[in-house]
Amino acid sequence: MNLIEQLPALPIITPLLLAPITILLPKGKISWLYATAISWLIFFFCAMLLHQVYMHGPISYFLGNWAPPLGIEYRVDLANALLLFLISAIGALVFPYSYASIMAEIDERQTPFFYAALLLCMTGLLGVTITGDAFNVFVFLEISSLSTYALVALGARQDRRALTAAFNYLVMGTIGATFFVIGLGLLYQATGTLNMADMQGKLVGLDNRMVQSGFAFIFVGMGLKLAMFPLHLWLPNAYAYAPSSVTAFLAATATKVALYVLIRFFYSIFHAANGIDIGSLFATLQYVVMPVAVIGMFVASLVAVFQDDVKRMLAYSSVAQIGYMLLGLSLGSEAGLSATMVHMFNHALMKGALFMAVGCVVFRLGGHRISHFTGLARRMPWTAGAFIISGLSLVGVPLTVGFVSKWMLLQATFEVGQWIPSFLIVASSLIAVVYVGRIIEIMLRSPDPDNPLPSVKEAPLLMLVPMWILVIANVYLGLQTDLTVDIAKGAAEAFDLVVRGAR
Amino acid sequence: MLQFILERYNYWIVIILMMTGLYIVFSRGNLVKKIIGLNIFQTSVFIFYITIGKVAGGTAPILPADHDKGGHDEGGHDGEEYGEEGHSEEGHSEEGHSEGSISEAGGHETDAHETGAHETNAHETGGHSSPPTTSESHTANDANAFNLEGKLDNSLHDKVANVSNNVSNSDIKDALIDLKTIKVPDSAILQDPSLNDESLHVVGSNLSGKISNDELTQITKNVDKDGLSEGSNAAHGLAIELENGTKALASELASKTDPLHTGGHTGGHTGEQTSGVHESSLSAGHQTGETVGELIYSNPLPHVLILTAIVVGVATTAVGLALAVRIREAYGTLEEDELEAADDIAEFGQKGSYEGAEDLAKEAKAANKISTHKPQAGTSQTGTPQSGSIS
Repeated sequence: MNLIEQLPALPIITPLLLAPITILLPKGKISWLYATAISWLIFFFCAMLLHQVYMHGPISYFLGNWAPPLGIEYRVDLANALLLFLISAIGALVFPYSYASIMAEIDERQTPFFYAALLLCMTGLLGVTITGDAFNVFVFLEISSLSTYALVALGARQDRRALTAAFNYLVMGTIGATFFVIGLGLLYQATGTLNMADMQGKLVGLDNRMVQSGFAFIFVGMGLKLAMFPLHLWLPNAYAYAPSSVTAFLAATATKVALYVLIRFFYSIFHAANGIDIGSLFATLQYVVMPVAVIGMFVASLVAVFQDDVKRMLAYSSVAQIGYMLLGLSLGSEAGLSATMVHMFNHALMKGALFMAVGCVVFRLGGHRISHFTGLARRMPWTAGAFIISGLSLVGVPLTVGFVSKWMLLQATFEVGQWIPSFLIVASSLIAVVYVGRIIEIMLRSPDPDNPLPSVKEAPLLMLVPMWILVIANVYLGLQTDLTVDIAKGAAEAFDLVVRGAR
Repeated sequence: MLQFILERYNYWIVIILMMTGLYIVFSRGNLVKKIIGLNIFQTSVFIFYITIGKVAGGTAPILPADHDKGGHDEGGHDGEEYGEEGHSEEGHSEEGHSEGSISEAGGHETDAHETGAHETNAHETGGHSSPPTTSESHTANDANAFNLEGKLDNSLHDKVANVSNNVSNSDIKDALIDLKTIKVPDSAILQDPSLNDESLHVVGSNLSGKISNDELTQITKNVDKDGLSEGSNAAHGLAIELENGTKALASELASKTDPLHTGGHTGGHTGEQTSGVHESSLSAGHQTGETVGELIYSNPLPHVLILTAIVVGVATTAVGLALAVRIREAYGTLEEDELEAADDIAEFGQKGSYEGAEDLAKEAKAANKISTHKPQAGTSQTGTPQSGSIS
């Protein structure tokens, strides 16, 4: 048995089998070391996968060697290889980061459970991304969601509102997942298959009310999971009250994965790219997704300005950023799709770094209100520096990744002649200047000579290093744009490729 | 109209349950009631999936012990086993498609009540099952496989053509016996180690695809054209005969390629294809009011899916209830407005006193009732919009 041949299964099988063992390990350091080692192993697998796909093209892996229409297929093309790499990379950074942060934020006895849940959450997200079987998406989505509910609720030691946030997330998430299953059932009834590529082939020329309603159910279900603007209500509270490292992980990965599923269904299954309009896809893109995206990025940005809580502010900003991604998706062009892919990747880098910076503040100062950030540039220079750089990236200042993705998005909107959205992209970026600038201004404020703030130690190295890796990635990939843009363009093409790889 | 509603009563149940569940989730303030609503909502989906899996007259996809015994012994026991495998696989693709075709459009559905149903049905099955077969044949690049395929293909084609010609003379039996005598070319090809799983698989499915899709529909048509009163009967018999013939062929293939362990695949697929035709004639048999000794299986796949969904539902409920317990511990209440009021007090008043939460909640509730429209002293100081404000 060649290990390379089994590579697509490894990132899923490994954590799925090894995560439960975490619970049996002693609390604290040992379980942390164990979980971190697993996360690095998965990162290694995913990096190998990305390399393989980049070099040799898409990989199709038959689980248990059952051929696709009947068996379950794992299909790795450039699009999901990129996302797999992203998830596992964020995971590999969050696990080392979380040791100190989690020790401070949750009960020490709960740490093994925490690491097990985080590993399972990661497994679920990876599984959703890698699979080529539509029902598998649901199963993995629920694996990740269930562990996420538990993870969010663990923030209760800091703030009991985490419990209600987790409960609301559970209700909304379950409704979303169930809608997704209903949609799948309708599609299965229409096509008799669950394999994505197979389904795509069978849907051609099959545009009736059943397919349309299936499409609508999947769209709304995934919209709930990815916090599309009017369906985002679970997100701000869940992100604000979850433990810091959980927020950093979720903000960087969870919504991206749901968005990926939506793209996969839109472009690989309903197949807008080749000009076949199944399930009234074009109309949906133009008259539903685009307005929702634009309103979302505008309203959520505005709400973010008035937040008193930095974590909550960043959560609203996440909703706005999802608006950007949906906008790129709604353009229905390859340029728009690659802009979405780039922004998915870049947003993970900046939001990961920002939430980690907030986590450092929570670790030293015990809170994430805006007042805790006063004079931070002097008190915790490294943390403040990371926050400023990734905050600028969030705004879209040149030389950072945020600029690259906004630039691509603008280009994509110009390409299809959508002037209003392109104007609104710029306008909402200006709002981002306001809310990020507010925090930066407070951090840089010189100390009051009459009432000096007590000096605080800088966050521990174990938290600073992962955070700064993300920050450096923010800047490096903002300068070396070719790398991400190339892969994302290939990824956008990969959605086409599934279509053209005619089964 | 009434007919329309009554025929789809399970869908109506699904819709009613779904709406009831969602309504409870949205309208009830009690967290446990919300979870109950969520459960009802999920149950509607279970029923929906079970409805998908239902096949008219179908039984559970389990093999009865005495099924299909004592029939034609040419195939031997192996053949029967492999054929059976195909049978159970039939549920997978065949029934999924037939379900699809039923709901696709009104047209096909009503066909079942007409005399021409026979033909359309056969077409239906043929058309639906062909895509995977033909595409698989494209992937075959093994020269040997093609070789073997060609040989088998030709002989089969001849015989089957024979059959379809003879049908008009009502000489079905002879033709079928003819068909059964097809010999698998016993040559080194089969022992060739380069013939791997895949290629044989392709050969098998190819063969069966060709027989079942083209020739069999032809045969069925011919039988129909004869206008015999037992037309469907004949077709049914023919299908059984053919199936057994293919089984025999499959088993022969299997026995020859035993060291490669590929018999199962080949046989399975051949059986699958034939049984598709078989099923179509079977439904024809139903029309003329005949009792048929064969079994139709309901589609097992939706049931498997829904088992998974049930597990997910149970897990979700468990997590939800666990959260409800923790919320009650922390807040002392499970009512949503009391929770919100308690949070407001915690945020703007005395922060996070766990013990006094219950009293706080009551106070807050009272305060809320008195001053619903007055701006609360606390909220004005920061002006923080809660998540609700932008929805």
